[in-house]
Formats: sequence, structure tokens, C-alpha cells
Amino acid sequence: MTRPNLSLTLAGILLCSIAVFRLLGGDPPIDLERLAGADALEWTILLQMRGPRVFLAICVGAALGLAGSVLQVVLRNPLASPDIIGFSAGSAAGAVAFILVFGSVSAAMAGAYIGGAVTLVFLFAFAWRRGLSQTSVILIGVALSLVLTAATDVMLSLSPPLTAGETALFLSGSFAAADWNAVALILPIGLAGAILFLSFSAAIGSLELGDEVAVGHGLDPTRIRVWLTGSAALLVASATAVAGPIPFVAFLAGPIARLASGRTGPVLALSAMTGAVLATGAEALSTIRFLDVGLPAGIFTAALGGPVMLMLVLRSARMSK
Amino acid sequence: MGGAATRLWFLAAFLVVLGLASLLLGARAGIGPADLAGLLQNPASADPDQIVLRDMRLPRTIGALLAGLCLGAAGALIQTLTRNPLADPGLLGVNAGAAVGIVLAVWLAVPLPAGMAWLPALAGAFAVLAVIWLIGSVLPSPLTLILAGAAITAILSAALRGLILLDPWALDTYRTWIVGSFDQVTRDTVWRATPLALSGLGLGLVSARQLDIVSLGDDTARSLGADPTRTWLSTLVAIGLLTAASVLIAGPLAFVGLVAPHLARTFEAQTTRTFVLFAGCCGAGLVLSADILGRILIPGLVIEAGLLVTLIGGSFLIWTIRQMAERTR
Repeated sequence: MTRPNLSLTLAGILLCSIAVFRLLGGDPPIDLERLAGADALEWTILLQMRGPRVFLAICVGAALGLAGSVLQVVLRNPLASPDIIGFSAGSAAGAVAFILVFGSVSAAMAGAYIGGAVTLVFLFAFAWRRGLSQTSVILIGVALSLVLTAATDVMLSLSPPLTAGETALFLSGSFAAADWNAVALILPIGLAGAILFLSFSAAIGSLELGDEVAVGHGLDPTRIRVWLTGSAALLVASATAVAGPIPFVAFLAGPIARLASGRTGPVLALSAMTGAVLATGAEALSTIRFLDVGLPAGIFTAALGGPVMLMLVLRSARMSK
Repeated sequence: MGGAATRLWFLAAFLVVLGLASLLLGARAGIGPADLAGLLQNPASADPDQIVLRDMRLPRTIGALLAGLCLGAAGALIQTLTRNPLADPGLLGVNAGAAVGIVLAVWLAVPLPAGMAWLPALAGAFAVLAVIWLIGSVLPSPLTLILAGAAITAILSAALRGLILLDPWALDTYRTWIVGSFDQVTRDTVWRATPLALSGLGLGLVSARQLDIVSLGDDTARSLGADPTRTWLSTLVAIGLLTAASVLIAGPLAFVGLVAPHLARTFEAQTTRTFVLFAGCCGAGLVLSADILGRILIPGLVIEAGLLVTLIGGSFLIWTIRQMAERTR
């Protein structure tokens, strides 16, 4: 078996075991023999409570992993991931603004899409200089992300105490409110994104070798970048709409997948799988109660991703010195 | 243009005018100079207009001035120290560190004597400053410090969000802290923050002088009696004190420490000391203007100063990054 296939298989096994552990383990554990008896309670727990959460975590993780991995390759920088260059922050800010204006958490979904779209337009407008300059995209994206996060914090402080708790939970990235409707929203968009990225994979590969190579292949690098960045923003907005901004899954998935497979490029399947493993892993951790409270999934991915980002910044700084 | 002192007086006069405007403008109409004069004659007046003036507008105005002064001075110091025009206590996570300190103290139910709420804020700010000092030396370009700051802020805000979900009390404290608003400022808050702010400013001005000497080179500095390590340390302590004071008054206000020093550069200070003073005045003017603007921009609705400062400062940051990226190309 080749190394990429081996790592894909291993990731698949890991994902399945986390999912099975989450579905059948936990409190109360589910006895397989009683499931055969079609006991209503066991099936309810499985289908209405744990099933949607695990399935949503898989879909959201895969969508984030795909979006992050493709953006990192297309913009040729591991920091160019949607959760660092402002897409997550934009969708979250939009969602919180809608919660604040319409007074209900169900308004968050529309807000996430609008916030993501507005962020994308701003990013393109600010970073555009005879084409999409990669370094400006990252720095301006980080700046946008900072501005949007600060604005979100101000909005959180403005929201009435009753919705503030729910908003804070949404902002930390959580699968606690998952149901099958959320899965039905993200699944088609995630699949469409995957198909789009697959059909672009040859173009992504030649972009990675440099703009000159892409032009030599008869491609328009700027146009491809705009399309792929837009699709990544759509995937991230969908993920944020259903689960809040889960930090650093998009940022981590690509590098881990490239490291595991020993290959460069978008490694689409493995990135999606890695994202799903990260998200389900965080979701599983979020069901373990610390000090009588379950922490939301996003806290665990941030605890892993923040130090990795700091390391990456410091290492690239040392290399360019 | 005259000397530094003339320009400083000019700035101070501008701040006084701004302060008067802040006292007289607001949601409650009909407060005029006559009320101000009446209050000066009889400080314990029971006239409703004069009570609003004394107990709400005055603390609010002084709080905004003080918080802006601290943030502007801290920004000038951290920019001089890191030799980075993009450094800002807010962007580098010092504010977030102070907030984590406060929330952590609520969560752990640390028994703090009354009036000592600033202690955990200070500890959190110092912890982050230490990390920035450690990594600042390996970062070659101003732009990478922004990225490192984003990473630090991400880690801290994850910790913050975890803590506020663990404890409803912590969420409540956090919500009132992150407001970036001067609505809640009382005389007590101002009194509590003043010693921190003044000691931070004093230490900052002393350190600024040392920083100038240190910038001449290590050997020259030693022969003039300035120790580089000690200077850096005292500057960091000053930044921590100033940031904690501003967080105490208004919660974490980002971007003031970034924008104020840039405004101050137009006054062409000769020494770091005057630069810090100019930046402090610019910060005070900026924050108070944002607060006044938020009160009068849309009649009947108060926009938080924090939101306006974020919008102004954010646009400024994006514009600066565009300029810097253009030059390095």
C-alpha cells in the first residue's frame, strides 16, 4: 500500500472508532443487544441526540478541512487558512449581529452567510493589486479578523443577558445544538464544494508550481484564486452557520494531511478526513465533563491550533532572518 | 512651529475644549454652561441637571480621558520598545491577558481585598508582555509580530471563552469588562484606576529617557548609567500598569495604542519622552472624541466608544498594512 493510501485508511479507521465510541459509549452507554429489541429510548438517544452531533461534526470538520487545505495551496502559505484570514470571524460577526438585531439565535444562520460574503468582498477589495497578492491577502485577512473579533466582542457585551450565554456558546464553536436540519444544510454544500475542488484539482496543482506554470497551462491564476477563495468562504460560512466558528480545524487539517501522506498539494480526501477527525475528536472531548461543565468543542481545537500557529509564525520568521 | 512644550500646551488646550464638549453634549438635553457654573459654586447641588453633570458626565469624561491617555502612552512605549510601528497592547493580546486574569480570579474565587480588582488584570497583562518580550527578539519584520499577536490572542480568547462558560459569574463580569464603554464609569472606578495610571505614566516617562540612552548602543548606555535589561524591564512594567489601568476603566479597547502614536508622530517629538506624552494626549483625544461622537451621531441611540474606536483603528491598520506591503514589494 502506498503511503497516501495507508494514511487515508488509518484516518478512516480513526474517524470510525471515534464515531462508534461517541455513539455507543458515553453516559448512558448503549447496549447493542437492547438495540435489537427496538427499545424506543435507546434509538431516541442514538438518532435524535448523538447521531446528529457526530454526523454534523464529521461534515463540518470535512468542509473546514477542504476549505483550509485548498486555500493554503492556492495562496501558497500555511497561514492562508480561512480561520486566520477572517472568514470564520466574518461569519461569526454576521451571525452575532443578526442575533443582536433579530433577538433570536435562529437568525444566526443567515447572518453567517451574509457576514462571510461581506468579509470576502472586503478582503478582495483591500488586497487587490493587479491580481490577488498572496502576502497582502494574509496580512489584510489577519487585520480584518482582528477588527471583526473586536466588533463581535462589543456586540456580545451589548446583547441582553438572556441571549448572551447562548451567543457566547455559539462563539466558542459547539455542536451542542445540532439536529438533522443542520446536517441537511451543510451536507449538500460540503459535497458541492468537494466536487468543485476535485474538478479544479489539476489547476490547483499547477498553481502550486507557480503562476508562470499555470499561465503556461493556459490558465488564468487570478480567476482560479478568486473562484476557489469564494468557494472556501462559502464552505466556512456554512460550517459557521451550523456550529459557530470552530477555530483552527481548517488551519490544521491541510498541514497534518500533507505531513502524513508525504505529498504536497491539496491532498483533498485526506484533508477532509483529517478535518473530520479533528472536529469529531473535539466533539467527543466536549462531552467529557470537567468540573461539572462540558466545554464546547471549539475550545479544544483552539488549544491545539493556537500554539501550532505561534510555532509556525516563529519558525517562518527565523527562516526568513 | 514652536517647541515641544508649545505643542503640548496646544494639545492640552484641545483636550480641555473636548472635555467641555463632552460635559455639555449627550442624551439629556438642556444641560448648559449655566449648570456647570452652578455646580462650581455649589458642588452638592440637588438640581437634576447638575446631578447628571456631576455623577455621570464628569466621571465618564475623566474616565475616557484617562483610559485614552494610558493606552496612547502604552502604545508609544511598546512601539519604541519593539521598534515596530504596528505594535499595540490590544493587538498583541495584552488586553486579552488582563481580561483572562480578571475572569480567572472570579472563577477561582480568589479572595481579593476590596478595591484590589486590578491585581489580577495586572498579573495577566504582565504574563502576556513577558511572552511578547521573549518572542519579539526573534521576529525580523513588524508584520510577523501582528501574526504572532493574532496567535496569542487566539489562545487567550479560547481560554477566556472556556472560563466564561464554566462560570456564569465569570461571564457576567466579562461582559461588563469587555464593553469598551464609559456608560458605567463611576467616580469609584476613576479613583481606583488613577494610582495605577499615574504610576504607569511616571515609570513610563522615566523609562522613555532610559530608552533613548539605550538606543545609543549598549556600551555608551552603560557608561551613562543606563542598563539595557533594566530599561526594558521597567518599560514593560510601565506598559503593564498603563494597560491594566485602561482595562479597569473601560475594558479592553483595541487599536487606540496603535493609532495614537501614529497621530503623535505628526507632532515630531525629539525624544521618546515627549513622544510618549504626545501619544498619551492623542489617545485621550481619540477616545473622548469617539465617546462624544457615539453619543450624538444617532439621536436617541448611544454607540459604544469601543465600536467606533475599533472601526476607526481597524481601517487605519488595514491601510497601514497595505502601505507597508506596497513598500516591501
